[in-house]
Amino acid sequence: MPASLPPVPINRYIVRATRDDDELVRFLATLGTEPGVQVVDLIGPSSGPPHTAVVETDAPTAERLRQQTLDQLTIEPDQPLSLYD
Amino acid sequence: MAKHVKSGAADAPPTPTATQDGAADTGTDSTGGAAPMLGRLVTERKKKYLVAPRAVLGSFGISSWAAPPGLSTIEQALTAIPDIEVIDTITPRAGLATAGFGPSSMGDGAEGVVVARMTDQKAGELLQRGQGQLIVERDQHLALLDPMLRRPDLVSSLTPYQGPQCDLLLAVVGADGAPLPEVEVSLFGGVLPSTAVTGADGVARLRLYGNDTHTISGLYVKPRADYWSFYQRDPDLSLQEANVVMLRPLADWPALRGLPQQNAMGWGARAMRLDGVPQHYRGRGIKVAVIDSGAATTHGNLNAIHEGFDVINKRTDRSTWNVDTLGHGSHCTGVIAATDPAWGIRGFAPEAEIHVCKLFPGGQVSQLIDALEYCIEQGIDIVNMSLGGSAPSEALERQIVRAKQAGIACIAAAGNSAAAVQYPASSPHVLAVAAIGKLGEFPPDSYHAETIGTDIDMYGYFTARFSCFGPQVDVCAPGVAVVSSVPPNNFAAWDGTSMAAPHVTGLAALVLAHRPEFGSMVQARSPERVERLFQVLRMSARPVTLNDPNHIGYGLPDALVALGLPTAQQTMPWQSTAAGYGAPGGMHAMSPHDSGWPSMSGAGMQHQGVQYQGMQHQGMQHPGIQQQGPGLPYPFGTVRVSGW
Repeated sequence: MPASLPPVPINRYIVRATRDDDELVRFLATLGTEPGVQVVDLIGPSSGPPHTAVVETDAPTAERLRQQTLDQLTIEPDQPLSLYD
Repeated sequence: MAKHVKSGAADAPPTPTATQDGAADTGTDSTGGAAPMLGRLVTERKKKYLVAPRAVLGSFGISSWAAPPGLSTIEQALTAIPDIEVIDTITPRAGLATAGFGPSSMGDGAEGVVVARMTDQKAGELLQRGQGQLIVERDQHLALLDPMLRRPDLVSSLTPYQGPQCDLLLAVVGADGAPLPEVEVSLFGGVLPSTAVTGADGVARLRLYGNDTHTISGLYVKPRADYWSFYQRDPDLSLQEANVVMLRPLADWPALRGLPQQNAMGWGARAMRLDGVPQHYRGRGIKVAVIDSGAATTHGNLNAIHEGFDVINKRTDRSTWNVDTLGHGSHCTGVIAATDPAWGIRGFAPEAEIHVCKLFPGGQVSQLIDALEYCIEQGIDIVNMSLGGSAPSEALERQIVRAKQAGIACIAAAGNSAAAVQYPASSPHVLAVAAIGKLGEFPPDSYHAETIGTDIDMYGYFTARFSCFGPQVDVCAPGVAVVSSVPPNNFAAWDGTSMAAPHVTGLAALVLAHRPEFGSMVQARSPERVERLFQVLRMSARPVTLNDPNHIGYGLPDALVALGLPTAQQTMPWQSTAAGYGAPGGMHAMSPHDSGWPSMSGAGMQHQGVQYQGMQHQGMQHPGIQQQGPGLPYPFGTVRVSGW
């Protein structure tokens, strides 16, 4: 029986429109065709569309999406923060 | 007979009962309470030194070598000194001595080295007595070049597979001899670092690899709260009996006498001259957000806080911002706004409206973006960020710009890695705060002493060794031995740029609330107001330490100057030695964040005085600032010599 490959790690990514927040809305609408991408949070003003989305996916998918949306969106890893004590 | 205990502090606590062989009885009594604890107090141990003859050049060059003492002469002399223990003498095997130059060519047996154990003081005396003819140097520990990963910091790939192991007992007691539980004890050096926490009996059990305590280079004892820490370099530790460390209560320190029943102002607030600010300047009407680990409203200095947002837990309960499992946010918030005027510590702006955004443990960049969104929605004036990430984030930077456009002033800690300023403090839209300390504001045997830099000025100010540096540093503030509130209702002295940033945030709240020019601007939150606030804070600063602007920025902000209060009666030397102040000697002419940041040696460097340009027409002239010559439009004012 062949050994199974280790699962691809899932990471969090921040997606933000570079200019127009509507770009993010359009991007979110396309995620129905991306089963490997889960939206875990949307950030924005209470009275308007979100400007930031937090998604979970694997690194190759994140890189592919980043290449596809270079001019419209920034997609970057959601880095951990540290306290400075 | 009580054993003499070495202590550098004038108000050393009573020495625990000790036997003549060094065993100390630190228990409370023999009839009840804690059981007597036997052991020996931890002091500095003697270290190994290498002592060797050194040939000295005469005034006529190599032809006139002064003959050094022979190795056997040195060995005999060292053996005769009571406090010095000769361990080994290393001489070259026959025929292997270097030849043709120096003392070995003289045939007097001067080549080789004596290894001896002695105190640092004795080594210094020996070096002096040698009058240049003796080499006396510390026998340093060597380390394998194990490539340490940045995270997790204390994990090493080294694993000792065989060899001796032993346990070391360390008892921690208070000044009354009672055992102190939950104290973190760490040993550095040796084969591997070792850490343990004291139990209810006050005893920590540490596992050592190897059986030689002489390889241990440091002992760090860190209490949870209410006591000073303890640090001993090269500790004299026993494997045969318990080692005892006695911690001093914070409230025994002269400046904190009676804390918390007696309200105290921290040394940092005093250094920034908060003690000269009128009592009714309390920051009312200003909203300050502390993005951190929460704030414990169980604390007597924090129980007036009612607003917050638990970003981490927002899916289930946004209201748990008042649970602070790390204590960090409570500490920062106390510096900014500790409330009770009669109890505990005095915050800068006790009547500011504090909003607590809980991001830790576990905070990520996306959650900081979320917290800043909360701040925009809530109309926050100032945000304190004693945090950072490993790399800049484009998404976060855009949110910081959004916050600034909404009139929010973001103030951030520069970082503690003793390297380049970290993000978000490195953002041009954030006020970056470095950390300084001051001699005499903490016990010399506390861990705070390990942060002392080499740039101590005549008042005792120094740059904290851990503080990040670079042209992005705007100002510096107290970040060593800062005493503030920690859960549930205690106090602790902590170090970090995390502790420095809240000093500036607190002062910023006072400036927005009470500096007259902002009275008409409060209703109009704008990026211009943010820039003006940052300018006022920078220009109020005075140079401290002997370091350059990369480490201290414009210096330590002064509350009286920043608030536009009279300072004429002050006689601080930096005022009398300079025609004016604001930009210290060698200080860059513009804000470190302005695009025109000149080189260190460039013609743009100005000193002794500052001037804002293009402000007069807006009615925003700093007291004492004279208008001279052309300049850039506000807020990117040039700073030039004017003698204010």
